[in-house]
Amino acid sequence: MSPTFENSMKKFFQLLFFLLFSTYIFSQEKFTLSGTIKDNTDGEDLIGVTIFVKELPGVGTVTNLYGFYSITLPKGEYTFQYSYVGYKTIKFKANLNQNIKNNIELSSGSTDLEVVEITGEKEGENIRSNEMSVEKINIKDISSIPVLFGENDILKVIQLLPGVKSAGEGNSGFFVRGGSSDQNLILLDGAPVYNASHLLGFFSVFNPDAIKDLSLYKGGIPAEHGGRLSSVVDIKMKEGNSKKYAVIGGIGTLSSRLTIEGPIVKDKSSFIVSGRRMYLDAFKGLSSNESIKNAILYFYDLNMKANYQFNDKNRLFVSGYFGRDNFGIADRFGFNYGNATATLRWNHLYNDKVFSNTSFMFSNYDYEINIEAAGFSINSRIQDFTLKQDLDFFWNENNKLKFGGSVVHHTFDPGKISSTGEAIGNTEIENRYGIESGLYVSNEQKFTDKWSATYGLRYSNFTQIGPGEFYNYNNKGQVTDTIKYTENNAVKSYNGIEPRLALNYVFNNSTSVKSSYNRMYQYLHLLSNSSGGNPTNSWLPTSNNIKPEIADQVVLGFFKNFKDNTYEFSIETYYKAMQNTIDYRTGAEITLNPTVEGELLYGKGRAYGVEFYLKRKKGLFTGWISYTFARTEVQFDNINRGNWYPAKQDRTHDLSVVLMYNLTERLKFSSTFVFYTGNAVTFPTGKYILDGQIINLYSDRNGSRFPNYHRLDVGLTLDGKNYKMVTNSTTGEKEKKDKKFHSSWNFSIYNVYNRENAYSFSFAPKEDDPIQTEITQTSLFKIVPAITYNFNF
Amino acid sequence: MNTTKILVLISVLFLIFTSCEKVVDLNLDEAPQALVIEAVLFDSIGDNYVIISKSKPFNENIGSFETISGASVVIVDNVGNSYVLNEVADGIYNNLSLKGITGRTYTLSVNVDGKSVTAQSTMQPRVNLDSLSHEKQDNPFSGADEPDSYRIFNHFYDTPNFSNYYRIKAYSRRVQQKGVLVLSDDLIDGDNVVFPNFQIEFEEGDTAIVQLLSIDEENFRYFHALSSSQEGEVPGNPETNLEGENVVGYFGAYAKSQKSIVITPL
Repeated sequence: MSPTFENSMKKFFQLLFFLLFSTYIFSQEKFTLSGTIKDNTDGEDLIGVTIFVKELPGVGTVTNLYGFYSITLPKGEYTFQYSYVGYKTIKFKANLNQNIKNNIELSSGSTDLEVVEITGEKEGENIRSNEMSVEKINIKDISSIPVLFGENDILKVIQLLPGVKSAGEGNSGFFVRGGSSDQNLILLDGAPVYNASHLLGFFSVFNPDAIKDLSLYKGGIPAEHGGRLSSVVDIKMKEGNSKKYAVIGGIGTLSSRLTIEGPIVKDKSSFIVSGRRMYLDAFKGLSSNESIKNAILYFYDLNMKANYQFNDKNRLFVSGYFGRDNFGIADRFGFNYGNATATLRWNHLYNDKVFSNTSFMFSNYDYEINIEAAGFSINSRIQDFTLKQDLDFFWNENNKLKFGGSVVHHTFDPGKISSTGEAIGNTEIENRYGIESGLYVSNEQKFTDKWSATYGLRYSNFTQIGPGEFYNYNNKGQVTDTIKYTENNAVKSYNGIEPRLALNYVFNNSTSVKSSYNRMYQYLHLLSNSSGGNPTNSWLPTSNNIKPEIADQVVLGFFKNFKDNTYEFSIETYYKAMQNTIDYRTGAEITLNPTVEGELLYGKGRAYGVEFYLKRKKGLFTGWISYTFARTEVQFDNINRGNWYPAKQDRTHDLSVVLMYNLTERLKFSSTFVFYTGNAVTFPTGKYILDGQIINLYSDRNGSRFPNYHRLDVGLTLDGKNYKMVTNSTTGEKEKKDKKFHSSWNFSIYNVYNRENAYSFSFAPKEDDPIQTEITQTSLFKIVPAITYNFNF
Repeated sequence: MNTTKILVLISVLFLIFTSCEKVVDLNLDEAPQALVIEAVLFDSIGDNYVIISKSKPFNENIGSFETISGASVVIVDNVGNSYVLNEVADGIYNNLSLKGITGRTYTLSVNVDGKSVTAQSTMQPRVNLDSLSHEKQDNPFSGADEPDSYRIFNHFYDTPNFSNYYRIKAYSRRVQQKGVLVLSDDLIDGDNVVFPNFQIEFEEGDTAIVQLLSIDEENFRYFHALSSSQEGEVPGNPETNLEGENVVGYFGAYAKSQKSIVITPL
């Protein structure tokens, strides 16, 4: 370590301890109120419930990812108010002369008028929280948004948010603030999901019935997360109903879902099992075409989770996901791929103030291609084992400290070709191994009523380890020499110091200004030049040739709520500088290439933009408008003569409008409209003849543009009656009684005005006259109607 | 067929065939015309040609490609011999006494309108085609009334402990190979190679002619990049061994081995 680095580390810790102890040293005797907050109908932990102290305006806390909260105050009598959007607020009076444990169950009660009044003054967490560039989505809130084939998809909904751009038509891949699709860390219960798409990108792997909520961090990324440049998508599975057994299901145009959840031991332990299968292949028998009859085409998902609360201090979770896509033609060709993840997690309370979370995670993504007709198969995989320790220290009413660390062992198997025939031969590209580790500390501190900050530091390290043969390349990408390393020998190691900072200045209850800075390191790189979601793209580790990608991002934002928090409005502007960005040599072959590192070029990037977001949260009519104006450019010495040029994901304008309207109590109308500037692409600028064939002539890389994309979708959700009229046996009057069985119909139309948005263009000689050329446009989805029936009991 | 069945089938077809392809007009940027040079020197006497032409806008489908006459074309080898290539047809240049010798490095110089282009290529040792064989294609998508199609296999012995690069060209009087086929011996060094050509399909009665060209690494990289940059993941003009301004194409000194086979029914 360099002396300057040691100095700055020393200074950082001095500052940290000064800030922490400055409030601690001068304080009087203090006690802690802590506990867990759950939903009273299904026992799910409630994340982000705000707890306010009536007597101390501006003092409060928020429940963490496991519904745990802790607040430490000077001895005294207080009134605590627990509020959560869509739930009844609970008041709790306590004489805090000792540490108190208070576990609470909140009931949803949107119809209770008294509550609306109370929640009215306690909403506005978006103003008070230091977090910016963060989107939290509760799966319940998005179920009526119209989507392709009526398949409710959380990754498609986030593409409608400011700064998040769809990777393409119907694609679950996305770009965040100018980052490529591999710069998003997608976590399912903490385990990374390497390919979050089904059916070549048209669906995400997240079954909406098994998912509880999602947090997307676009900037000001907390120090506990690292490893990707652009964003973190943290998805939590439901814990399962700990009160009673429940069944949730849906029958859709393309797939069906079924979920069973319930208590193992009431209020102590619960489970959830959720499955989904796409059944396009079920209809193939109707076809007279032999090859369609032999077609294999389906995917499935299985989510499972169970938890057991041993006592107030210990809780254990086990969760897992398994999903697979299968395509092919019987006996000739097969292609299957999928993810598997598993998480074992232990929540432990050391005391009222220290919450610990220890997790062990496994993640695997692999694909297999079998070409039986030609007698060979291709296999590839990436596999992770992760150990992670996180500690939340609820120090006092003004400081919340988080620290911890993680170690990941990665195995990269870029590809094996096994052949039964003589024609091709066996090829095996060597496995690569890496250890990625991180240590972090961060503190959320309230300085005054108006000023607060979250500041932290993450240290990361990536070490590529043997065994294997490693290549060095010259500037043309040719192998110059080969070096052999034995097992567990370090080939190359990189360190990263990643400061994170978020500042918040609250003008009043409805207005704040926030700013953040973060530095991110990325040690894994996806080789892809398609828009994302291509299952055969493989991941490469940082190596003796590939340096870690680095991004620095600064964000400034203005937040304002109007009309009693009915409207939320924000403007955020960001600038991101990226180093060691990867692009490819012209004509690079990036799949199954043992010397693929020679095909890579390294440069730098910059992304900047302004995001506008207006959201209506309450009333019959809800929804949002988001608009982003942005630029993303890269610069490589060997491309476009070293000039800056637009990255593929550069889009000047990006507009999403989402509207939901409750026509009646049971009937809800929804619609989305999307408009964005076409991606930057390389189109030919001319043509010439070589060897009797027409060859396309190109000028600058990404010098052309796809046509603009726009689309309107509409949906209608009809809820079945959730009550029946029964005669009260004592009074003889008719009254409403809740039904156990609830159902709803969802009708949707994707691309209502049948716009043929371009998916790809081909520039090729005409079939019948090869000396002439033509341009062919492929559009994927014209108007697509869908019907889904959902039920639960 | 009952109504439900029809309805289900329609909805499935809707899903599968909802995508559509159509020929469109697209305004493309037009770049300045590029000079196109295709220069090949074989290892037999007089077997060489340099074709010089110009590119044209992609959307221009009328008229032919402009050829360049009156260029000065010279090939020099590394032992001091110099050969001037004369124009034998519009834009086509040749020298009847030039023969490529294994191991020699050749330098091409082209001068057009005061602009000069140079390139180098080294003649590689020849690897001979041992034989050709053919096999019936098994295409699950072909209809019953289409004639059987056949695929050619190239048999040859790769030179052990030597970096060989090959270009394979196949054609008959009826069909042309689509695209370029190049091969390096990274995975097959010293093997008895049986290599299929998926880029051309023959029919019964065709006489298939196959050339196995031993090429240098620069040419291999060029053709590899050319084929993957046309319909591939990273489009662009491939890096060429031609040095000059706004020029595309290549110069290759190739050792050629040629064989033919009559496609008999199997």
